[in-house]
Amino acid sequence: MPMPTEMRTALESYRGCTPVPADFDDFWAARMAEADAVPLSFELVPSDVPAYPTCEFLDLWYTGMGGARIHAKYLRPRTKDPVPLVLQFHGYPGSSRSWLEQCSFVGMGMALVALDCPGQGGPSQDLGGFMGTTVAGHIVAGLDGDPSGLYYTRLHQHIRVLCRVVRELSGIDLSRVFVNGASQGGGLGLATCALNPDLVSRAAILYPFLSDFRLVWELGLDVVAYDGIGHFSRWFSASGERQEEAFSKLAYVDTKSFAHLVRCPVLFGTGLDDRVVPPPTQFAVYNNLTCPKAHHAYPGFAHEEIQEFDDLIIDFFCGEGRLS
Amino acid sequence: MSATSNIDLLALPALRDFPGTVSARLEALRERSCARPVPAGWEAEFEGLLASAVPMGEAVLTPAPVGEENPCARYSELRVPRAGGRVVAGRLIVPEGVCRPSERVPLVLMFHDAGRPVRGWHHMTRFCALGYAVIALDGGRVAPDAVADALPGLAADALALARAGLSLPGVDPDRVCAWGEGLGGGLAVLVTAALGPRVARCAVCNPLPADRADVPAWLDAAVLARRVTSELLVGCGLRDELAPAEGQAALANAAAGPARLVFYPEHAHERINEFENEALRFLRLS
Repeated sequence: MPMPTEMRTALESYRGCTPVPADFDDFWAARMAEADAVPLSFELVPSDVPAYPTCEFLDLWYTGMGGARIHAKYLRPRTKDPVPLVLQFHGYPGSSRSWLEQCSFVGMGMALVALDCPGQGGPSQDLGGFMGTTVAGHIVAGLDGDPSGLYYTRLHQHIRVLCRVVRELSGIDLSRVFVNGASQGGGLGLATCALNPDLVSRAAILYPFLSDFRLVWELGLDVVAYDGIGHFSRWFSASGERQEEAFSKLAYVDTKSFAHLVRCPVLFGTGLDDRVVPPPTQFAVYNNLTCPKAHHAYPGFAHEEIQEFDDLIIDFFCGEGRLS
Repeated sequence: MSATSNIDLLALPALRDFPGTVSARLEALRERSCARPVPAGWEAEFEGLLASAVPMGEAVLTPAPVGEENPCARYSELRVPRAGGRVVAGRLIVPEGVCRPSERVPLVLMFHDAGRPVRGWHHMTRFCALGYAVIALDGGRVAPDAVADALPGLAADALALARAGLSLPGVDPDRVCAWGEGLGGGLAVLVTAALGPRVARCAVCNPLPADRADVPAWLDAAVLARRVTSELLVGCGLRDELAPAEGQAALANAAAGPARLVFYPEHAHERINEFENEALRFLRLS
């Protein structure tokens, strides 16, 4: 069903229903310092797909938080010249897409690092230890403890370590490190821009997940990828006892909370019929961004491949980063 | 000759006669052949298609509206006139710069599924990373329930486009692969059957139509496979209801050349990550 005009107009100014925690910036500065204290250890090994004359396929393994072994696919064009690099994040709860799919960025002359989020569909280790329920999804993993123990807090720290690894890779033009991600990948991507502003210089973000959790619950859309919120509410806050506590903690990993820290240009896409990541939560993210930005909304598209958006990425990343 | 497959890896011998199990279903697919009637004259009909689906002039290229900033690829829209005054539309991406290690490059003939438009430019750019040019038929969006009606026209368009692709400047006509998903897989098989050894390898995911009585035999991929002598790789989602595994197995088992059939028991009619990795291994030409 097309989005009514009045709804669309209201969304243009909607900024979310849970405030950014007052100590948000300090909280994350401390988390990044913890990640920076992790001794850097990584290795590159040939993957199980063959190299081509134009492209290498490597498994990147590194040590993340708590000693976890974290995996990413690493593809790079065969050239001696420095190349841009794309940090790629996948949707929930899968894994990095196939080697062949990742090739599109190499076909744009870029290297690519595609992280496999721990404990999801790829080989990265999740060492666990989260306080509270762990059966119902990663959003609420760790919700019984301090926000510093949330799954997504630890994941942003793993990504910080990955960003340090990227700085050590040979043949990378560090003035052109870009972020690309959809859904969970979009949420992680924006947080990566926010927490690593000196590294990331452009981002393409499609329907970012992990935002405006309270609104998701209010709309009864705490299902599919957001179902952890529904399970937590049923089991631990059936009549609202822990509502304020839960959403206040989740605000520390809310994508829209990171928005004010993003400095690089952001190409942003929304399928207006999205029922997995509700469009109002996406607008809340976009409207909180203070960086150069462009929002492309696609009527008739749900939480699915939007190839018109993907096509925009080619010139956005290959050129001077002009937002269209 | 039956295709090689991963049935031995997946099936438990103790359950191969146990109705309703994955193992029983896979065992039945091991030697599966075409169930549909195949009239004796189907090859003559196919030869008629080969004679008619020829380009009537050179392909006309115009710059695509995207990709101007990419130093590693040149993006073009392509028009190929064919018999009857029809013009076949397609997309072409040619590798450049670091993605072009030699003057002449291999070519991928790419065909998309029913229920969707031609694949996007960004998606297609993946082949440039491999140093391959890629040409895709822009056959519009064919509804899954309209495949039988659309197929004769699509087949002629696909073949004319493929023939035009082989003579594009910079393309090495001795290093050509075909690739398709769903309906595009069926078209890739058809083009491979038509072009013979000029297509070195053909990789298809959930190809259709295969062993379907509602399409002419000379357009059914499971029948056409008898003319496929090139290396063939088939990825089959065992839960596919649009392209049932029985038809896909009949296709792979009928191939005249070396064929490998890889079953994915948890997948339906969808993109399969692991098959794309398999295809990446398969499509690497020496």
